[in-house]
Amino acid sequence: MNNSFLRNFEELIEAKPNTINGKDVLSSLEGWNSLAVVGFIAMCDEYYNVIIPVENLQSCNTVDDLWKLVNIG
Amino acid sequence: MLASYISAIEYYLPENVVTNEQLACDFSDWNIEQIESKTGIKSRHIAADGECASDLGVKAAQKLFAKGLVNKAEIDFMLFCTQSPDYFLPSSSCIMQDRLGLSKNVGCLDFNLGHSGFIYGLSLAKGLIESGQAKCVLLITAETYSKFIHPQDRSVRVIFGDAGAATLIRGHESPGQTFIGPFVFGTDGSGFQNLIVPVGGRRYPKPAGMDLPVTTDSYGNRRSPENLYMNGAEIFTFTIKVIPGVVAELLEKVKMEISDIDKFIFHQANKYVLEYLRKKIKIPPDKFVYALENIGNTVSCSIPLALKSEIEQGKILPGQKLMLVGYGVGYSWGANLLQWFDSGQANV
Repeated sequence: MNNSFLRNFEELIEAKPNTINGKDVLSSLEGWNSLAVVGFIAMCDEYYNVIIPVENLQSCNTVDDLWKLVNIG
Repeated sequence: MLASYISAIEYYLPENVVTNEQLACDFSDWNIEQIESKTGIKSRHIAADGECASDLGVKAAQKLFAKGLVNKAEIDFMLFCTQSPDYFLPSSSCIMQDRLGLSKNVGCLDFNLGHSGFIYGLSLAKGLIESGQAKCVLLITAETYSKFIHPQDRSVRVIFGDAGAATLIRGHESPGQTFIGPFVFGTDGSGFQNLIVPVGGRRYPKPAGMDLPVTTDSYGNRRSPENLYMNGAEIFTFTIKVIPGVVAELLEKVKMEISDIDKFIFHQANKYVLEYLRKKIKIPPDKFVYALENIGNTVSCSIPLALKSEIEQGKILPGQKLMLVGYGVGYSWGANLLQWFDSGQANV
């Protein structure tokens, strides 16, 4: 897991720095809402030059799953 | 040979204003500050019960007449863009011809487009005028998405506002000059389900005598198949994939760079996507127009209202080159160059 990815993700969901790890379940994260989903798509495009298909996002359960999408993309 | 140009724009907003604070009363767990900072929208105008899109369009057109910007008798064609017509048939524009007191020699037609509608309307008007079929086209765009929206669907209640705009397009003897155009168009129907009212047309008529079930999505938004549904993530993905290329294509067509364009007026979807596009395409902030704070996303009215807002603030000068970009429901998109022209007649 890339540390900068975690830090970017924390900023996206407005979590405190260094509080999120890869095993965290997305549905348990307060800031993971419909706005955050759009923001995540933007984050991947801007920082990793990849546009994640929405259907791939919907099958993610953990933060690790999101990171795998970025790597595969 | 006539060159078409935008002669005047007027608009009408419904009297009822719904603020974010009022919406928060319906959604107690809503973070108003977050919504406002992401969408850039503080309030939106919502049509009254029984107030249709055609009513908003008629009122906008009546403002043109009241200000003496056009004589009704001059109008020889009217285009009406809406996705909430009065009836399946007849065309709402036929009814509006009568209500506005236009000549019976006028051609009228409705066309069903949303966020790209103003661009397509300009293209149709240009075609009519520059092919010699019309001299003075009234393009009315009007929308009441609010009537499709479930009151407990905050995903769309926060975004959309109702409005009507009336744009007058005339022809001017200007050999070799172009004020409206060129255009870039695009369509991708594979995305049709991502912004849709599924039931009520002929594909899926509403079953007689039966209320369709209201369901709750994973974000807590409630709607039935008769309500507007928008998959925000899919719409955003489509937008960031397609629109930068559309801008590049139009710039290539006119052999210009971003630095040659004076202003960019994009469809005012929400501030987040606008800002994202602006940065991605590398448009300087002072050239990029935002005009949705107090009206929301007004669909096919958003570009003419943004253009009118800039004009009212004295920010559009004759000779300036503007790029208009519409994109959304369909998926449908279009973009055109607009050279601002002052004919010397009373306009705008």
